Amino acid sequence: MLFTEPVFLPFFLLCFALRWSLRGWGTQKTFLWAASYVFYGAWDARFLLLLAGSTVVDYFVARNIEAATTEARRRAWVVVCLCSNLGLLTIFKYYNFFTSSAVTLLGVFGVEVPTPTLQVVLPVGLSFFTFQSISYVVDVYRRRLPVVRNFRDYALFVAFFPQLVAGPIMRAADYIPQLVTSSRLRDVDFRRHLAVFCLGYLKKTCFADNIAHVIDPVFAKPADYGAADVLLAGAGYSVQIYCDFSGYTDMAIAVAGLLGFTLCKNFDAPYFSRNIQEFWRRWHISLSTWLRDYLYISMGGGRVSEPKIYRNLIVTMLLGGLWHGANMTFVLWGLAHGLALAVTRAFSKTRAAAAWARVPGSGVISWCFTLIWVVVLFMLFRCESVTSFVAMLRQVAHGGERLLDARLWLVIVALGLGQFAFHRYKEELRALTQRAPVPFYAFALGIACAVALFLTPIANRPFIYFQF
Amino acid sequence: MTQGSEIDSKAWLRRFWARLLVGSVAFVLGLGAAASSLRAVANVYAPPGGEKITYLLEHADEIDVIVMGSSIINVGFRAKQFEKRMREDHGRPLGAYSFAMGRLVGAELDFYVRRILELPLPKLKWLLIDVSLDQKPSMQEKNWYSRRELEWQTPRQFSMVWSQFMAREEPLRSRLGKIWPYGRHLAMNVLAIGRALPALEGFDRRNQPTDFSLASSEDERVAIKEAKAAQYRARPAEHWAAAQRLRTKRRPGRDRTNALAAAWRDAAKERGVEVAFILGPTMKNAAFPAKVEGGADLRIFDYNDPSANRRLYQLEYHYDPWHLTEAGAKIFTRALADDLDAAMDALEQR
Repeated sequence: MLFTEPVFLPFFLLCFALRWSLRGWGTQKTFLWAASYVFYGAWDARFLLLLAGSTVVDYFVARNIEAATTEARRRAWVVVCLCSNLGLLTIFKYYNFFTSSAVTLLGVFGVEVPTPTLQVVLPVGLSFFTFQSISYVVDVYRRRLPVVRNFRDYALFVAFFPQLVAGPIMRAADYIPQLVTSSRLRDVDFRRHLAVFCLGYLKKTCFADNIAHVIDPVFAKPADYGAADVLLAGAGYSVQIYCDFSGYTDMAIAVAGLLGFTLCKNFDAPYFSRNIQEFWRRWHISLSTWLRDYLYISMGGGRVSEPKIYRNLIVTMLLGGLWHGANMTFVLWGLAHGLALAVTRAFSKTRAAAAWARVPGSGVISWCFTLIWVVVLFMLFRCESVTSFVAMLRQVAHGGERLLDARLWLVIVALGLGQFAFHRYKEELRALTQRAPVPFYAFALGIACAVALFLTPIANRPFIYFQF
Repeated sequence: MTQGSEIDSKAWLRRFWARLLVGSVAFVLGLGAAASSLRAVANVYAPPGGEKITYLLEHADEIDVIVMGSSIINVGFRAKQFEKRMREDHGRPLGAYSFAMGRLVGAELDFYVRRILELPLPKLKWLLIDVSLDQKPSMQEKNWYSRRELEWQTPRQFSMVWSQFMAREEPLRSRLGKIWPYGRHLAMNVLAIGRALPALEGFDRRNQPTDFSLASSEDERVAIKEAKAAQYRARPAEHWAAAQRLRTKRRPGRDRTNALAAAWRDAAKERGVEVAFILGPTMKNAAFPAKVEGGADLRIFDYNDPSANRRLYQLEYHYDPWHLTEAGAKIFTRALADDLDAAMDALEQR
C-alpha cells in the first residue's frame, strides 16, 4: 500500500476516525498498532512475522539490559541486538552481494569456488525498522533512555505505519514521550498537514515519476545518448530522488501529524548546501544523524586524533552507502562522500578556508562545486553498475546527438527556483494558510489536488527508498 | 473534566464538524471545477476517441456510411472495396469508414455510437453496427490505464457496466472485483487524472496489443493473417465442428442487448441516420432477435448462419472460427454492400 494509491484513502480515513473516536488512549494505541500491521501486511503478509519477531527480540533485549547487573552482561545483550538486526539485514539484503564479492576476490587470486546465492525477497522497510530498533537498544544501554515497559508502546514505536517502510528513522527519545498521553484533536494543525500532504504528493508523483519516465532510458542504455542527454539525466535524477524521497517524507509527516504525532524533519533544502558537511546536515537527516550517533561516535567520533577522525568519517559514510543497497555503486557512492567529508574537514582547518570565505562570490562557487559533486555521485548511485556509470561519463566526453526534450532543463530550474522561494517565504506561506477562511483554503486545496491528479502519470511507481 | 471544559469541548467539536462540512463542500467544488477545466484543456491537445474521431471530423463531408464494430469488422470489412462495390455495382457513390477496434462491445460501443451521433457529420446516412454476439467485456489488467480504456468510462457507461455485471450469476465478491477497475477508471476519467501527459498514446491499441494490431502496414497485416490462416487450415475439424454446432442449435438472444440496439436505432433516427445491425460470420451460438417491444423491428444483416452464407464459411476464408482472411473480407464486404443497397432500395420505395 502506497500513500499515493487510492486504497490508502479509505484506510487512512478509517484510521483517523477510529484514532480520535475510540475511548481510551490505550485502546487508540492498540488500534494504531493493529492498523500499522495491516498496512505492512498489505505488502506481504509473510513479512509480519519478521517485523513481529524483530520487535519481540529487541523489546526483551532492552528489558534485559536494564535488568543486567554487570557491564559485560549489558554489552552482551547489545551484541545480541546487533546480531539479530544486522543478521536480518545480512541475510535478506547483503548475502548475495558479499558472497559474490568474495568469490570475485578469490577469483583474482586464482581460487575458483561456486557462488552460493539465496533467492529471497527483501522485506520492505527492513533497513529502516532495524536501524530504529538498534537506536532504541543502544540508547537504553547508554542510559540515555528509560526502557519501554509496555510492549504495545514499543511495538507501536517500531511499526508506526506513516514511517515504517521508508522513514524518517525515528528515535525512541522523540517518539516514546508522545505515547505517554494522547494529543488532542484540536491541537492538530489540519491546514498545515493537508497542505504538506498535497505538496508531498505533487513532488512524488507529478515531478519525480514524470522525470523518471524521461530519464530512465538514458540510465538503461547510456551508449544510445549524447553528452547533453547524459548531463540532463544526471541533473534530472538528482531532482527525481529528492522529490521522490522528500515527497514521501512530507506525506509521512502529514499523515502522522493528522494522527497527532510529530515525526522528525528529514530534509532541509539540501541542494542549497555550500559544502558536503552542510549537505549531510540537510539530506536524509534521520539517517545521517543515526550514522553520526551510533557509528561515528561509537568509533570515537571527533574525540580521537585527526587521522582517525578522517578514518571514522570515511568508514561511516562507506557503511552509510552500503545501507542503501548491496551494490558496489552504493559502496563507492558512500566512500566518495566520506572522502569529500574528510577533505572538507581538513580544508576547514587551514588558513586558506578563512581566506576563501572572504572572497566575494565564494559562497556561490562553493555551492556550485558541491552541487556538481552531489549530482555526479547521484549518477553513480542510480547506475546499475560501476561499468554503466563509466559508460555514462564516457558519453559526456564524446558528445553526440541530443534526443531528450531540453525543456526538462526548464522544469529542473523552475523546481529549483520554486524550492528557493518556498524556503525563503515559508513563514509567510504558513501565516497565509492559517489566516485564510476555511472555505477559501479548502477550495484552493481542491484546485491543488486536481492539478496534482492531472499531472499524475498513470502507472504507479514505488518510492525509490522502498528498495533500501 | 469540569462542566466548563466539557461544554467548551462540545462547542469545539460542533465548530469542528461545521468546518469539516463546509471545507469538504468547498474542496469538492474546487476539485470539480479544476478537473473540468483541466479536462477541457487536455481535450484540445489530445481529443478523446483518438485518431478515429479526428479522421471523421476532418472528412465529415465525405462519409455517408460508418461501419462500427469489434475485430470482426476491423479484420473483415474493407472500406475501399465497399465503396467500389456500391459505386460500380449499385450506382451509389458513397463514402465509407470503418470505426472498428478489437473488443468494441457493450458499454464502450454504446459510448462511441452516441459520440458519433453527436459529431457534426452532415453527410452521414447509415450506421452499420456489429453487435459481436457473445463477446464479453472484460478489462484485463495489462490494459489498465491505457487511453482507450479511460476515455469511455463516464458515469453513464459505468452504470451500464454495473447493470451488466450485477446481472451475472456469480458470487457478489467476484462481480464487485470485476467492476472495481471500471470504478477506478471512472474516477480517473472524471477527475482528469493523468491527462496532462503524452503517456496516453496509441489510442486504438491497448497496452499489449495483439500481433495483428502491431502491423504497421497493410502488407504486414495481410501477411499476419495469411500465416494464421495457414495454421488454421491445418485443423479443419475445428472449423467444421463450430459450423455444425450452429446448424443444430441457436440460443435465444439477450433482451438487454436488443433493447440497447433499439435505443441506438431510435437515437440515430432522430438525427436522420438509418441503422442496421451486423451479425458477423462468427459461428457464435447465439441469436439476436429483430423484434422490439412497442417499436419497429431492428434491421439486421445476419451472416451468423453457415447454411445461408456458405461462401463466408469456407475454410480458406477464415484464420480462426470468428475472423476472416483478406479473401474472406472481400466476400463479406461485398455481401454488406449488397445488403445495404437492398435496404436503401426498400427505404426509397416506401
